[in-house]
Amino acid sequence: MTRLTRREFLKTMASAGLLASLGLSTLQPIEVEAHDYYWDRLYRSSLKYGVCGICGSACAFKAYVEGDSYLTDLRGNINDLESQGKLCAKGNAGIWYAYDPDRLKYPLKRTNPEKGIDVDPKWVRISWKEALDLVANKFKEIKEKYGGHTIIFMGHPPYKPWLVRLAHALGSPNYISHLDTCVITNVLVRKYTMFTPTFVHDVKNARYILCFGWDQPAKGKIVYTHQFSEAVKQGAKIVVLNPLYTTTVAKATEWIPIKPGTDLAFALAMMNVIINEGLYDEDYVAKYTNFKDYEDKIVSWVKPYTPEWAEGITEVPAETIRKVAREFATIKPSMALTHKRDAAGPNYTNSWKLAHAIVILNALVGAIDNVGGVILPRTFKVPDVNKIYPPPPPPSVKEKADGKHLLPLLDKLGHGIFSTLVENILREKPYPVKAALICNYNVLAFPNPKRAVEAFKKLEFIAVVDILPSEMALLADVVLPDTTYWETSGFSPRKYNALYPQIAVKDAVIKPMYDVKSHNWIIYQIGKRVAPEYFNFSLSELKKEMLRRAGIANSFDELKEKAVDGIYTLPGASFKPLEKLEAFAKQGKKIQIYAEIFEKYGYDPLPSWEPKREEKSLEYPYYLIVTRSAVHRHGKTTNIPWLHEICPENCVLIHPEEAERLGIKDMDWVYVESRYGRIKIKALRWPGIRKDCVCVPHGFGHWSRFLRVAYGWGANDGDLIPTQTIEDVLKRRDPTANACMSDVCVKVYKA
Amino acid sequence: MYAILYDSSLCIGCRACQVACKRWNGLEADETEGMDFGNPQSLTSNTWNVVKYVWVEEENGPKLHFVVNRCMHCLEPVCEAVCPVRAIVKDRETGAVVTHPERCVGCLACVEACPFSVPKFGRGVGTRKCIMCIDRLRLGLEPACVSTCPTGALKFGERSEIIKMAEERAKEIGGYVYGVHEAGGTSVIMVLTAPPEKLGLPTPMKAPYVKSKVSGADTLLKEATSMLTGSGVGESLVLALGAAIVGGVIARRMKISRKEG
Amino acid sequence: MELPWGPVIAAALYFGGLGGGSFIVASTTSFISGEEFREIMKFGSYIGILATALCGLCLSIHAGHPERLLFMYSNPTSMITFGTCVITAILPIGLIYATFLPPDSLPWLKSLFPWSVYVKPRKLFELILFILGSGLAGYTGFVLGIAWAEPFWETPLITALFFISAVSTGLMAIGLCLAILRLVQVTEESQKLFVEMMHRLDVADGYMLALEGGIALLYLYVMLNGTSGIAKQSAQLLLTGTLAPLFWVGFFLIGIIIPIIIELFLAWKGRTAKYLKFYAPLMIVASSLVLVGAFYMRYCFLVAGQIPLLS
Repeated sequence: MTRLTRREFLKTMASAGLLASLGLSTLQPIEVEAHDYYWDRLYRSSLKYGVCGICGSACAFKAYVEGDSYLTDLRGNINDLESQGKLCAKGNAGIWYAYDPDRLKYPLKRTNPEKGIDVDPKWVRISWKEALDLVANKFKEIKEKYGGHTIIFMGHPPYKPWLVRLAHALGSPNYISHLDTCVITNVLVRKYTMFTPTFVHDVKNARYILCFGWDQPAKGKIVYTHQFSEAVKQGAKIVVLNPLYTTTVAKATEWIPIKPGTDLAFALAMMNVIINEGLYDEDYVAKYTNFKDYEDKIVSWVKPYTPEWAEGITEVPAETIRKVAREFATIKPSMALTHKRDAAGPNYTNSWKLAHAIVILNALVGAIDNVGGVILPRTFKVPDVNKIYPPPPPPSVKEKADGKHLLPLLDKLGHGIFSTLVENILREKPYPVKAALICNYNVLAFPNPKRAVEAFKKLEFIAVVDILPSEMALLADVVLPDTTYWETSGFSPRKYNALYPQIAVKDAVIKPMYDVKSHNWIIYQIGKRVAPEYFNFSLSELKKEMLRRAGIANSFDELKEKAVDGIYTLPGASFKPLEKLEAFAKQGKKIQIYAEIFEKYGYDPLPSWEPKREEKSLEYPYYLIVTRSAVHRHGKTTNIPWLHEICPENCVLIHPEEAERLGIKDMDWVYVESRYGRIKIKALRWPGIRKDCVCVPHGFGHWSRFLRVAYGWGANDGDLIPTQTIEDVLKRRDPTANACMSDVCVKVYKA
Repeated sequence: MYAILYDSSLCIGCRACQVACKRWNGLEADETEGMDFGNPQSLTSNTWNVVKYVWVEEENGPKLHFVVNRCMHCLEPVCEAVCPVRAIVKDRETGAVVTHPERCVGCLACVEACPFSVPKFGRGVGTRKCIMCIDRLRLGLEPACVSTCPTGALKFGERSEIIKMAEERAKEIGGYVYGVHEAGGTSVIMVLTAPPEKLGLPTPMKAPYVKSKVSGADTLLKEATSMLTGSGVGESLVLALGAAIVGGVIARRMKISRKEG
Repeated sequence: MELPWGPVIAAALYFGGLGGGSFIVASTTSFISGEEFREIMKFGSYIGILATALCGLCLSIHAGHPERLLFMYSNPTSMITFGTCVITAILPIGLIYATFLPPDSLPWLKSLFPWSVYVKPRKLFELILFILGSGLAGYTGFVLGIAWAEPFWETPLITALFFISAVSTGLMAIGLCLAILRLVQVTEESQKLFVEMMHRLDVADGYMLALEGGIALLYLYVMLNGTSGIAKQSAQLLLTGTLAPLFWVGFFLIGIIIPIIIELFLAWKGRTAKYLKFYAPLMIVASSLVLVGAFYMRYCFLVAGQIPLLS
């Protein structure tokens, strides 16, 4: 018996030992190998060159794609002047434009006759032929019945040549862009005072940077971010005038929380100091500007704008203004910075004058077209379709639906006007608008979007080209799905950092998904149906001609061969300071410190002081500031999960002491109300803001249920902002028709 | 042995690094609310790198600073020491602490043990965190975050060189260096514009938590006894308790046996 | 706010302690008092296996990937690997040990395990299980020490506290079984035996609870006056903060104070003729309270350590 027990015991021990060794066998060393992770797909991927289309920076990138459309890796193109090898948060997430399941996939037709906010259009899918025929026939019908001028054509400035061609072919003078809400002040003022609008700033070489609300690092704009950090590293002095403390302020040497809408007074006082103390660059000013021709007028005009006077308006101590002015003039190189929606953007009634004042300041210290200054862009002159193939004759109807025919300087540029268009449509002046072709614009971008919806409801027929089922698409009768920047090929001249002529070549990085077509092809196809005589060329021929006449290459394939790693630079080109100004000076053209052309058309030749439209009052005690998140491109990217995760909604930023006074804690629901509208939004305490200001970031408040990620999040600042009539614009003698997108005061209270 | 340098003075909080990480690793989005001054609020199994905007009260008013929360890739990782299934392993060649979520059992020991509160568990995906893009390193590329950083706030290189760069830059701006000695040294070195505690960064001890290949009992005791008055008290207490138990039980037994004769 | 280690882990630690403690009590009793208190050893082994199995079950529920169990032995430097080894060792060894102690009421089981009459092999198992049981009971304490980020657990006092709690729960779990069984004993002689056994357990547990209470208070005192701010916060949570009701009532009152009072009474007057018939019921009450209080103790210390770090 004992022996048996021992055997039993031994058996148990043996089996235990076996189990133990099995367990011990899992103690093998863990090797970390690349094929543990599935991105060795990179080896099987092919290299494609692309140009990002999320913002105006248009950074060139290199993409590695497996098969037709699987993106394995993405990096900025190191040879590109814009991206210099980097990509921002939006660029990194950009593939979602193509992969978004909510994206528009095929042409759609509306079956629900009712149009409105949050109304389901009950779309049905139709074929491309059906869609394009429908649009073309409708346009022809409306032209017959009411006249071609009742059709309006809307799209971003790059679409302008095509839309103008189509518009004129139908007898419509109405190409309308969004610039009055975006950048018209800088574009128009710079065009007429320094020959051309420009976004090229040599930030990295500047040693004194004066930002009039300029905040591009806080928008993640690649083209400025690396230059800006270079300047920071080199110890440049950065002074920021901004009622809001942003990322740019965090990196700056001095923050001046100026009262909103008073930067013009600050700039005028600076001019006063610089001119009176003789701190301006005499040689430069004499050679390149018309200062000497109007010196007496300018000196007497600037006399009352003392720093003490400015102190009363801006709430900035006179000593500070004087110090900034002196430093700006003596620390070289220096520059005064502005981009789009900062203080000189179309934010306040006096913004266009600030734009002019900034040109003057830069001119006085010799910063224009100079190292460390505001550079005039050096680009290839690529002719558009209307310069290559004979365009249709200009229409006989000269009145424009948005009223810009009454603003000759603006009419010449052909840009704008969202804010007056809405009012004109509603009161049917100068004539009723019956149809529209709208490309990649959204109602949420309009001031007072609800009123814009009412206006668009009056139209009989709207065709919308878009990539997402946006709120504008919801109002359309026919929706035409556009390609994203991933799916088209072509070339893109460098614009934001055009130190010398350079073009980025783009491939169709992924095969066009679903049944989408590019907007150029769509407009071309409509044109072919309504006016075939003006659309009888081939698109590839056009591309070839554009390159040939610009002296770049004889064909697109040749350009691709000439390009080095996706970028073609003009051989031997480099940045030569003052090159353009020299050329202009030789032609007798000078920078218009005293703007003769403004005087000719009845506007102020010198930016005399003018206050903003609305001052704070007992009822509306806060100035509204509008900004944007660094990870979003207005409302276009809010449906992207990786970006939505970082910033799902906007909150009204309010000073902690004000919040305490109003009994508001972080993430509490509050109402922000102006005399024009009201929004319900969450609050966030932000120590870096003036106590009399609140900030509502833009890009939220989507009501399109088809945008399943973005729907319902946040509120639209546009609900607080009024439209304007063309009479308002004429009355205040504003050549730019700027939409005054922040010129409101609001009140805040708990919901 | 590589390291990543994060220079908070050059960082502009653009989140390119955060999104590049999501893109390269194919990570899902988390649910969040509010604005983008530090979303998601903490690391998760889907978010391995978060940029935070931190307000710090200074003499002339509040100032905004930027900082990142991410795996520090410690030289002596505690997570590796405590993981029972070896689902977290340090690659001694590159310095990357790499996760193998397919082995993870979800015991959350690493979640509890990490002095920087980095690894996070996700249902269905296991515990995941930054792996220093080890797959990119093997292909001769830099980590995704470093290659996309627009301001050069993120750099990658040999650890000794990175430390030299960090110390130079910190001296230049009057900043603080973080990561050279924390938890025994990490492979992520940060140059900070404010003291780490003010930026919400944990301040672990400046020596490795895992000294020997055993469970670091001696470190445990040393750390513990520092909380008592004088060292050695802890050990004595344990011995005393042990003796008390045994003594008590035996005494009880003795009493009875005597009774039984 | 979801704690990484929540009630399921508290339950796992509790059952682990209970299992380890039961084996410790069974083995000690065997060594010191021989075959007389066979019932204690019997229930010790059954409760030991059951509790250890429940501990393993709780850990599997917490983890969610039971199919990867074999990986759990991979890391010799990890304390959790140690714990897994101990648990998986105890289960088969404890099962075999239990076969040495089949219940008298089922004679067919006795015939199934013919070796159950031999004492010497059984003693060998008892020695092994004493070591493994101590390992398991101590493990439930020092496994929390892996969380270097939570200095509240970085002290040998937690091993001491959880170890003593484990022994205490082992004692009282066996006591509970004996008390219930006492109520169905038929002969006067067996009744007396049961009361005798319960008395030993009762006295031993009295010491244990006193020690446990003392160590718990010392623990919190040390943490309050230590160098770590986080540990101080945790201690404050338990003493006066949000966890104070659970700590003072759930653990201290229910798990220490009331049982000690009952146990003192039982030891002093419980075996007198007057109160003898109340012995078993009171024992049931006392042991239940101890078992409940011990769970609260582990839950409190587990949660208190994690909350400051999550905020």
